[in-house]
Amino acid sequence: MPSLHETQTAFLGALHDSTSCIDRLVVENGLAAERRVAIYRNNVREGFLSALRATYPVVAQLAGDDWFHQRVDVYRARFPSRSGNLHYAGKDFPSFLYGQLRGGSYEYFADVARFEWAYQEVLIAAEHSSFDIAALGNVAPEHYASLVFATHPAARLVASNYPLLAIWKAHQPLSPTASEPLCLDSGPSRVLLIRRDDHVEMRELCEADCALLQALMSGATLGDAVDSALAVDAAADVAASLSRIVSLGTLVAFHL
Amino acid sequence: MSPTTDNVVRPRGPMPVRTGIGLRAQHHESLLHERPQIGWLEAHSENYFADGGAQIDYLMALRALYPLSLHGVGLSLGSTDPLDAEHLWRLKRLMHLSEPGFVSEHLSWGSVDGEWLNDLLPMPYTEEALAHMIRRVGEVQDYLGRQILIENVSSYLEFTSSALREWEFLAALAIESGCGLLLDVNNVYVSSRNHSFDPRVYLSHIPSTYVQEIHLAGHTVKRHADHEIVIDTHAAPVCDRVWDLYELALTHVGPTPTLIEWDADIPALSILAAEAEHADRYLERTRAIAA
Repeated sequence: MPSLHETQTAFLGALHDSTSCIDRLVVENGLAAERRVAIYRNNVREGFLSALRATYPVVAQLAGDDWFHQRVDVYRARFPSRSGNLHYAGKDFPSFLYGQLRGGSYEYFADVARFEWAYQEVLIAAEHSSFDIAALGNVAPEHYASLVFATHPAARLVASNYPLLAIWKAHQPLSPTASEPLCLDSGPSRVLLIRRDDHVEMRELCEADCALLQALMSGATLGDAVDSALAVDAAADVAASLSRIVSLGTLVAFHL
Repeated sequence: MSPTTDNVVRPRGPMPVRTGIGLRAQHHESLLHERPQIGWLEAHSENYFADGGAQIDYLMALRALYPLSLHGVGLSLGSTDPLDAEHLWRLKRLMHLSEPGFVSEHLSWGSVDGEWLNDLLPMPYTEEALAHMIRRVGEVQDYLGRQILIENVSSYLEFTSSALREWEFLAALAIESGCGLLLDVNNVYVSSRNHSFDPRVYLSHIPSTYVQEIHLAGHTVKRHADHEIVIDTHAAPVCDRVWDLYELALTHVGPTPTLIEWDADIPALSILAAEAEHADRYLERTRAIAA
């Protein structure tokens, strides 16, 4: 008699490959084993598809059902779910799409996917109380350059060569239908997504603000982050940049 | 429907012997504003595993208005893979936060060697599988520090290795592990059609004192040229045959908190509330007969 693990392994094999025979394991009772397994195969596929559709509604709209379903099937074969919580199933979809689309005219789908994953992360991230900026007054100016900041758990930054925010907004359920056609080469975008009071705020950042925040989010010291900002815009007023990203609530704590 | 706060605001305590509905995100707002007189709400645990954000806030706002139960779909109790520690931790955190009347999971498996199917797959009803489920339910109950309820699932195949019937397996699991049972009457019906057994026999073998909750839902019949199969879609009203079976189940287990599940093609809240009210009438009848 097959063990529990052998039974489950054989079932998984049959789900993946309809020629994998599990006839001997399954009671026929008027319907062949393969047709019984096919019901589960379909359920598993539908469950995964609807999870991905819920996570990536804009990519699904842009790509159309046929394309989206095809790519999700390939994605699922390469990146099967690794959790009992299907909400995580789409985690690798943006990088999968880059692999499929890089350099082609649909490359921006991958950027939109990255944006939508960031949006999902922001929706469910932890709360955090706001930053007490006055505490910075106790730091001696000679230590400013070595300050390291903790950033808000519900803040993400997404930079792209495409107008991501415009694309995303045009595909929201309540957006006006007869909007102007989107111009994909209207220039790069750098969008901050941050949750406040259960609402996700989206802001376009300038190049210097984005570079500064990106560096701080990755754990760089303030000195290095300032260098990053100046590297993209030598004329940037970095004090003003810092003040803007503080007032956006992106920084929540600091240490030396 | 007018807000009748007096009737729906309840302290946190045992689940009322009334009918509740499955909590779906599209009804969060209308539940808060319309406050229909349904008995309680059941949330899919995984939908509220977030660290923060609007979904948790809705759950807690609704928790102040209705008794709550947490129903998990992702623990994969029947799998031979180790239990997912993070999943359990998130469940325990949510449990402490929302103080549910029931915490439930399924008699099923959903993963092999780290690959998840995220479906409620049927178990072979062997002695090995029974010992495994008893151990796993015990692990979860020990970790959570409370009893959980285990629900029978709909199935589309049976394994030739099964030495026990599903009802025997469930009864032994409850008695040996100390878990409660969540009797899904629609699932009994669906499986009885798919596997040609008498659903009344199934019900009569369920140890009634272990049944703490009942589920009702709609299903879909798929007809092929040579065969038909009943699929547990949760996308339709409860059918007459399942209502009849529910009535029979109530005579067997007594008045029991009941839930209307409707998870796909989800209708307006008022339709769900009407289904719940219909089930409440069965509960009242059973109470009247018992009295």
